[in-house]
Amino acid sequence: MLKTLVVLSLFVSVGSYAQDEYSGQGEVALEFRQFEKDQSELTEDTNISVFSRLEQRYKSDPFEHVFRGYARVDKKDQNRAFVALEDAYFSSYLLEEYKVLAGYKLFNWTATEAFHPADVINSRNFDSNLENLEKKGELTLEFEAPFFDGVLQFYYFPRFEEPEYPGEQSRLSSVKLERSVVVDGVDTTTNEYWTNQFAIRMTQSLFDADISIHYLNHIDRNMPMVGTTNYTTILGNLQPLTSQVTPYYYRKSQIGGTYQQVFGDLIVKFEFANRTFEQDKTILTAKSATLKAANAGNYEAKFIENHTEAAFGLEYVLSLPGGVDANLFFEGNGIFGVEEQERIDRSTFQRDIMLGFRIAFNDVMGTEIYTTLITDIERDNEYLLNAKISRRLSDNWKFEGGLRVIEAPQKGVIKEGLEVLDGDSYVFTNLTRYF
Amino acid sequence: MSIKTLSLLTILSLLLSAPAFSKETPEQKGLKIAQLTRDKNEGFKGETAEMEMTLIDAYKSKTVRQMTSKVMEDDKDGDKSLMVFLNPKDVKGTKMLTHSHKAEDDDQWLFLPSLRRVKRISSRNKSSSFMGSEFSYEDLGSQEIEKYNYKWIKDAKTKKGEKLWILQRVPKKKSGYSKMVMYVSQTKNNPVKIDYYDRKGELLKSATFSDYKVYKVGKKKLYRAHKIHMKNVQTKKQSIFTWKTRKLGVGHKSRDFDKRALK
Repeated sequence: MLKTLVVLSLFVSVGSYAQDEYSGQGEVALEFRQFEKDQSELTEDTNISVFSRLEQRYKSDPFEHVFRGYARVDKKDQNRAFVALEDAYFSSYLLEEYKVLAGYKLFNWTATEAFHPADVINSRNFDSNLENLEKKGELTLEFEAPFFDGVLQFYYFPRFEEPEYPGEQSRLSSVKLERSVVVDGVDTTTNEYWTNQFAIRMTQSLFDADISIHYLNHIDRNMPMVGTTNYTTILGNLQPLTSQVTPYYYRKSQIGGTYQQVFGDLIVKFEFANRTFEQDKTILTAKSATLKAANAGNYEAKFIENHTEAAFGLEYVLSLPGGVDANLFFEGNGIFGVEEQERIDRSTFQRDIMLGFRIAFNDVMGTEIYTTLITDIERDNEYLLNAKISRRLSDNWKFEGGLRVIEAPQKGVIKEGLEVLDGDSYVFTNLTRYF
Repeated sequence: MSIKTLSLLTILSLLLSAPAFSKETPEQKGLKIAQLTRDKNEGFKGETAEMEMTLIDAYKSKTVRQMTSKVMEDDKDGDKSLMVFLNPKDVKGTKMLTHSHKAEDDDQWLFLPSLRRVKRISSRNKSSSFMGSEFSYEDLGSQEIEKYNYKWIKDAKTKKGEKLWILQRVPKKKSGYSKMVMYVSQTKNNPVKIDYYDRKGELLKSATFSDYKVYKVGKKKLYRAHKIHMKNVQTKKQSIFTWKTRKLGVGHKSRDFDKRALK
C-alpha cells in the first residue's frame, strides 16, 4: 500500500511545477516536567525531553503534497522515545470541485475545547495532555464532493494505528501493557492491524452555524478493554492464566456529529457520538471497585457496552481595554445509556464539567494565559486543574510554563478513572525554537 | 416649442431643483460620497498580496510581522478573504477566513495548524489588537458602507492642493470606536487619513494612507494605498502596514474561500 502511494505521488507530481507554492516550517522544544514525589523507585519524577516537529508542504494547483511528523526523546524515560507521522499525503482536485486524497492524515472533528466525543479517528499518544492528546496520522483514502453549502466526504482506512501508552517508568502509567490486540469479527482477536474501516461525513454551513454528521465503522482507539483472553474458572471464580495485560480494541460503528453557532459574543458548541461495539468477545479484566466490594472474585469477563457520549459547550468572547481578548469557557460532557460503573470504566471524563478562561494580551510578545478546571459531577473530589502562561521571547523563540494539578483520592478497593493519576500533579516548562 | 418657452422652462426647472440641492442633509451627502467611493473601488474581481507590518513601540524598538492575503469580490454580499500568517514563526500557517456581509456580522473561521483544527470564531469583538499592532481587526476588516452612518463635514484641500471630502463615520453596531473622521481624496476615491475616536469620544489613533498605486482591471482604474501608518496618540506606539506585492484582477476559485481552503 505504501509503495503504491509513493508511486502515485511521484506520478501526480510530474508536470506540476507551474505556479507552485512551497512552504516549510518546524519546531524544536526543550520540555521539562517535574512531578510531585512518589514512593516508587521505578518511576521517574522528572522528565527532560526534546520534541521536534517538521512540516513540508508543496502546492501546485490542483495538487498538494503535505508531510508532517513529530518525535520526542526523553533523557530520563527512554520509553517516551516516540516518532509519529501526522500527515504524509497527496491530494488533488478533479473537475475543479471534487477532491481525492491518499496517505496518512490527521483529523480534527471536534467542536469543543476539553471533551471530544466525535473526534475519534486518529490514535492518540496517552503520554500527552489529557484534554488534547497528541495524535498519530491515519492511513486514509478520501474522496470529497461539494454538497449544498458544504461537502460530503467518503473515507477508507485500511489500517489500525496502535495508540501509544506511557511506559513503566512514566508517572502517567499504572501497568505495563502488551502489544494491542484487535477484536474484529465473531469471537475473533487478531494481532493483524490491516483491516477494512470506513466513514462518511457531511459538513454544512447554515446561517451562522457549522454542522457536521458522520457514520464511522472502524476499530475503536480510545476505549480499550484492558485484560486478557487467557483465563479459566477456579472454584467458580475467573482467574487469568497469564500476568500479561493487553489492551483489546473493539470494532465499533459510530454515528456522531458536531454543531457550532455564533450568537453575537457567544459561541454555542455541541458534539455527540452514539457507539455500537462488536460484543461477541469477552475479556477478563480486573473487577471494578463496586463489584469487587460486593463479590469475592477479583476478575470479571466482559465486553464494551453500547453507549452515547455527548458534550456541550459555551464560549463567551470579551474585548477588554488595550486590545486584550478574553474567552470564557463552560463545557460539560456525559456518557449515557449505561450504568455508572460502565461509564467510569469507559472514560476518565464520563460526567464532568469544565470551566476555563483564556486571556490573550495581544501584545508584541503574544502573551497568553489559559486556565481550565475540570471537575467530576458524578464522583466526589475529582479535579483536574491546568494553568499555563505562554510568551514569545523573539520572533523564533517561545516560552511556556504551567502546572497541572490532579486531585482524585482513591475511594474504593482499586483505583478508577482519574484516581489512577492522583498524586501525579506536575509543573512544566517548554522552551521552543520555531523555524 | 419656441426658444422663449424652452428658456422659461429651463429657468423654472432650475428654480424648482435648487431647493432640492439645498435640502440634501450632511448625512445624505456623506452617504452619497461613501456610495460613490465604493462604486469607484468595486470591480477588482480578486486580489492577492504579501504584506509586512512593522510594530514600533514608544521607545522606537521595531518588530516585523508578515502575512499573505487573498480577497475575492462578491457582488451580492460582502467580499471573502483569506489571510495566512507567516511571521512570527509560532503562528506561521495560522489562517483566518472571513465571509463579510453587508449588514449582518461577518462569518469568521480560524485554522490552528498545530491542532489541524478549524474553529468558528465570533466576529463581533473587532476591537482586539491585530497581531499586537496598533491596528485592530476592525481597521483591517471589510468596510461595507451598510455598517456605518455617514455625515459629510466639509470639503477641504491637502497642502499639495488635492481635493478632499471630510466625512464622519459612526458604526451602527458594536465597535471599538465612537466615530471615525475620514479625509477622502476626490481623485483617488480613497482615504488619505482616518482619525479614530475611542468609546469615550477621545482621539485614539490616526492612520495615514500613502504610496498609492494605480491598477487597471478591465476598463476600471483603481487606486490602492501601499502603506498605512497608524499612530496611537494615547500610547505613542505606531504600526506601519506595507504591501510588498499586490495583484488585482486575479480570478480566484470559490473553493479557495470555503472552509476546505483552511486545511
